[in-house]
Amino acid sequence: MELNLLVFCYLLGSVTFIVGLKMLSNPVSARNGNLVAAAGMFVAIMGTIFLYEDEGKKLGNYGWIFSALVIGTIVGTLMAKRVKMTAMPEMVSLFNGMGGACAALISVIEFRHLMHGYDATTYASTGSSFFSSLDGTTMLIIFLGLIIGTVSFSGSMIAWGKLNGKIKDFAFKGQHIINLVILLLNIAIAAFIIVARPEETPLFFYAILVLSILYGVFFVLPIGGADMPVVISLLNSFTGVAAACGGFLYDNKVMLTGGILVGAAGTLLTMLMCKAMNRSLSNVLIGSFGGSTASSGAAGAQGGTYKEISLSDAAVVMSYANKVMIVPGYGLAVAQAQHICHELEKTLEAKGVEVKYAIHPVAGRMPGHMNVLLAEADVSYEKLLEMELANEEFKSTDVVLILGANDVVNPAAKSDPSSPIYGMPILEVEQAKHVIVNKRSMKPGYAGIENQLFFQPKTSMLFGDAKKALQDLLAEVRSI
Amino acid sequence: MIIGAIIVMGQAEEGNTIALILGFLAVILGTLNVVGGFVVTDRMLEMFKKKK
Repeated sequence: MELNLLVFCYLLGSVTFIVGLKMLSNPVSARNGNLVAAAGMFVAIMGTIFLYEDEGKKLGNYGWIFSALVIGTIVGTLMAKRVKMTAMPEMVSLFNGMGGACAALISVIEFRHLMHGYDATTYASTGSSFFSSLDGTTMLIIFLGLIIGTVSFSGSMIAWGKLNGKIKDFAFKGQHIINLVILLLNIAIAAFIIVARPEETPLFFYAILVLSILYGVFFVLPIGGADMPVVISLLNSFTGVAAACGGFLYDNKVMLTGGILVGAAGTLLTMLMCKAMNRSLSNVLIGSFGGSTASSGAAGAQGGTYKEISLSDAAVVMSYANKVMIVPGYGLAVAQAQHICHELEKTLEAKGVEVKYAIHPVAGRMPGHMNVLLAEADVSYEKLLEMELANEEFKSTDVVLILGANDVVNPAAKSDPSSPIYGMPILEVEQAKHVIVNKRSMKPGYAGIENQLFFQPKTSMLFGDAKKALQDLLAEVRSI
Repeated sequence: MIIGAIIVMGQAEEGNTIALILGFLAVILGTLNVVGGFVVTDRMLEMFKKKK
């Protein structure tokens, strides 16, 4: 009877995950979708604590379990509520890392549990029968959970450090070979243990743990900030897969469902973003833009002259426009100018100008970064147009204001086959009548290449820190 | 994730301190992951509410 109740709890949990996820895709029901999934999770957790039975034995150590739950809830809630919106990308990465670590620890504990009957003296006398009697499939699942969970953990920690600026990009010659070697070594050791069952199995197990930590670190270390959205998404799917492994281990439906959902969604999102950048996943993971110095040498020669526009001219041209499109980029987030941007938008709209935002899928440092940034400034989400929709509207746009975005509006992606960003779909801002680019200087963006857009006749540069420039621009617009 | 951690914790024997501590840690980490994830998501979604 109790077992059936537990199965029902798990079924409920699985259903709420799926329903909640569906609700999340609609802005109106999204918040409730999150609550639904959370409620289902809660039911599954409570069900597990009170109803789980393994060979007739229920779970013990309630004191430990509940205190751990309470500590985790308090700390997690505090951290999540207090973090600044702009620190969201790194928070997401941090929490993901926690999940990976949890999965890895489960594997470690299960392994130790498995080793429980091991006695060195018996081993010697019975001739290695202990290790051979261990179930190979169980061991395989434990190893998978360990490796994937650990890689996700260490990778997420490095991503967290990179996103809050504490860790710089670090690349050294031959590192991809070294990383590949570490990975192969890891797989080889795991396979070896399962097949050969040596006495030193525990030693090898911890070797796998260490190698996995190293792999995760080296995996993420060389990847640059703007590629982080892809990496975070990938690491997220890893955590899901590690959880699914745990689900297999315990034949636990809710862990399986949750893990597979996360793993699948994460993988899809990763692939979508790679497609949006027109770079394969291996390209993202292996090289940043190492080859760009050669090609930008050629492209740079075509630099040419750029025009600067004064604040008052920019204010005039925007105030008298019919339609203005704003293209936000990472620079807007760095300058923390999203609120001023919203002020400018409101002021322009009061003057009868239609203002919308064009959001490129990989603008920023996290999937949805620009959306979250602008939402924090109370920008109505209906004004945010995704790339395809935005591209249809540029030809009827009078002025495009580019705020801290660079590579996502670089025409070389369409015209220059030698460019590292060639083939990436971009925001087609050159179809508009005027383009005003706000940057701090002429220095290249993440891709490290020149942007021909800046030298085109319809483009003018408005130099300055985004926040200051927007404040001054706002003052000028108000005086018109 | 957290469900697995709870199971593992619950099955740890009294005398097995290491398993208890590791399990304790695993449940904390799993809870952080779950609670943190839901709260962060809620905060982000809150900003997308229709403002009048």
